Amino acid sequence: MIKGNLLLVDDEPLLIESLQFTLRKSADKIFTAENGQDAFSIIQSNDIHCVLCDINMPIMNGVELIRKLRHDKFEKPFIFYTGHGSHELMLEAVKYGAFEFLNKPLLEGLVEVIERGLKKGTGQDDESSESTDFMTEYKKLLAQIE
Amino acid sequence: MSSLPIEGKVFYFGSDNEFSAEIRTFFTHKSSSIICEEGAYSDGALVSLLCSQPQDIIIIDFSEPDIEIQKVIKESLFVKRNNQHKPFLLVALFKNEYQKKQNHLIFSSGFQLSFIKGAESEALFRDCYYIGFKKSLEFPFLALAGNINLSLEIGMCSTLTQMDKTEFVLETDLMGLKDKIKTSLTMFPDLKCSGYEIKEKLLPSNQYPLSAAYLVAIPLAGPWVDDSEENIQSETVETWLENSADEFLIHPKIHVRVYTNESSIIHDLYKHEDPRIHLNCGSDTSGLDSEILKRKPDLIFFDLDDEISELQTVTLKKLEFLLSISMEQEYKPIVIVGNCKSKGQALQKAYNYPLIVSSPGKLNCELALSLIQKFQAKRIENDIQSHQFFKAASEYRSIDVVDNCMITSLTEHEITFVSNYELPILTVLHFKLPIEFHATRVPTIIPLSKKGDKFHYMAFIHGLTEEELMVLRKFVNQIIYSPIDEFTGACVMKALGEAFADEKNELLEEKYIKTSQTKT
Repeated sequence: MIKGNLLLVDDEPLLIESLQFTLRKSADKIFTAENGQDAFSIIQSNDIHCVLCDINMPIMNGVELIRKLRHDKFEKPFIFYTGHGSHELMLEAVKYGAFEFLNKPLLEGLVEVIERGLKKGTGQDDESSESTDFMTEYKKLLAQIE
Repeated sequence: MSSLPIEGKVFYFGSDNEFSAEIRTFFTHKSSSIICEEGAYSDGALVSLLCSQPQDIIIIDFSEPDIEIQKVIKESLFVKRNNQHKPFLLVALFKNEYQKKQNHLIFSSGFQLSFIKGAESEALFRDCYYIGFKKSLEFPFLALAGNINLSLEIGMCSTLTQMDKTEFVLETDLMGLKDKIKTSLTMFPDLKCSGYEIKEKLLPSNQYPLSAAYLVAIPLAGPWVDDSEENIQSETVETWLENSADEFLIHPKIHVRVYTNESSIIHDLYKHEDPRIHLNCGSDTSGLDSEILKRKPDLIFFDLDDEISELQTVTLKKLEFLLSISMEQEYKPIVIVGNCKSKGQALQKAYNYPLIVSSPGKLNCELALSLIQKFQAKRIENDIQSHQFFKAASEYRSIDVVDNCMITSLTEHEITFVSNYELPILTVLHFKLPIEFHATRVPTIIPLSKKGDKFHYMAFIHGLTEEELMVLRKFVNQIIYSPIDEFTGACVMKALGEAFADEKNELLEEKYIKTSQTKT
């Protein structure tokens, strides 16, 4: 079974290195880019199934990247990690289809989210399971109301 | 410069070909650009019609046995609150005097005029044209009793929407009610009170086409006090509710707001509408934030467009504002975003709101119903509502808010009066003297003088049988020559007695004069 290829986009080399290590077993291949522009080129020439991207980066930020890619009909899952002051960018990103936001620095649930993103990006997450996910999520919400 | 011909649409629900030909003749004579159509009524036909083509005037023929008032009410309320296009005039045609006893129910369900078929066709078409197309036309010259200046109690057709054992919610077109009000409420025989205290002004539910809502206290008597015209024992109300509530109240009720561009969904949702669901549908998101904060629906659905448009960006901004404010107000609706590429958890984090969920597919009726039903089940499990809601088809919800007005003139078709309250155009009024009739507030066709800080209005009288019309006509003629001193049953009786003196029409005398006596 294929796991899929993951692209990590961040301008901090140390963080990229640490993420590569953490996620080494989750993806078949991990690509890395320092900014949105590099990421765009990598996606043009490689089969990428999921993108993990810092929302706030120099040169081309995460939102600019997803906007450009969605315009080019790249519909694979985008997972953003966010920090303080990212709220406006998050609101902008959901317009283009954000799979999940993870908070820096803990990136809680990282492995599980990436694996779900790759599953969806490789087409192993079909329509019926999406609809089941939706219902499950809805039921969770109902449980929260008093 | 020539004026443009009036364009518009008139639809007649009924199978009377002769009557539909009369409609066509009248309206096309006024303007060849008015399109008149007709069709049989079946449940959902009104929704389908308005989903496909906006109308200016819709006439529903209740004289036909297949068209049941109770069923149409459900639909008229639905279309009036969900009509996305433009306001339209909704007119009821009755077969006879007996059938028009349903007048009150239809007037609190979106209808603005009612007529007895055959009795006043010319007036029906004229009134519809004047109100529906907002165009002046020549009204026939009628005998006018002017400068009457007599006080008379007028009922403003209103509705009860919720109740429990100590209070109820009243919805009406009267904006400025406060302190004590007088009503005609006769829900059950032991409830004899007519005076009620307004506890609080509320926001209208938007379930009924009325513009204001009030929380009203039931005047409960203290211990050892018998039920009277002043108050009622709480045990009496409780017992009555225990025994009869199922007939006319429902519980719980959930409020759902659907924003969609697909009119077919609106039609499908109507077909499955449950009386316990108050459903509002429409595509206009321009007032999303303010409307939702005002109405506070429990569930909000909306579909995103396929492409990110400027309008969608604005809508999402409004959603963000709404969700941030609603948290502060402790109002937490569940929001379902359809056709959304983002996952629900991403939306929850972006909007910092835990009760938002997204569906990758567009909203459809089946999905919406399934989500609504699950929510309903949860609501039943939690059982958090204390008030119960009146069934739309229940006559118990009918109520007149009564106010003393000054009648300034009267013909057999128009009445002018001075009101203490501001009344919107098309407010339906209930008169009990000189005979019982309904009238609808319209833009005046004659100049009306200012009356200080009060409101001087004209209303068209409608829904009279030929017999009633004759009595009213005679009454007007009589008071032109022998003005009455006050608008009381006794004075009206005297005037009617004199009006009919020559004819010795005992049947009419008995029917109307005795009726007037009972209304002193």
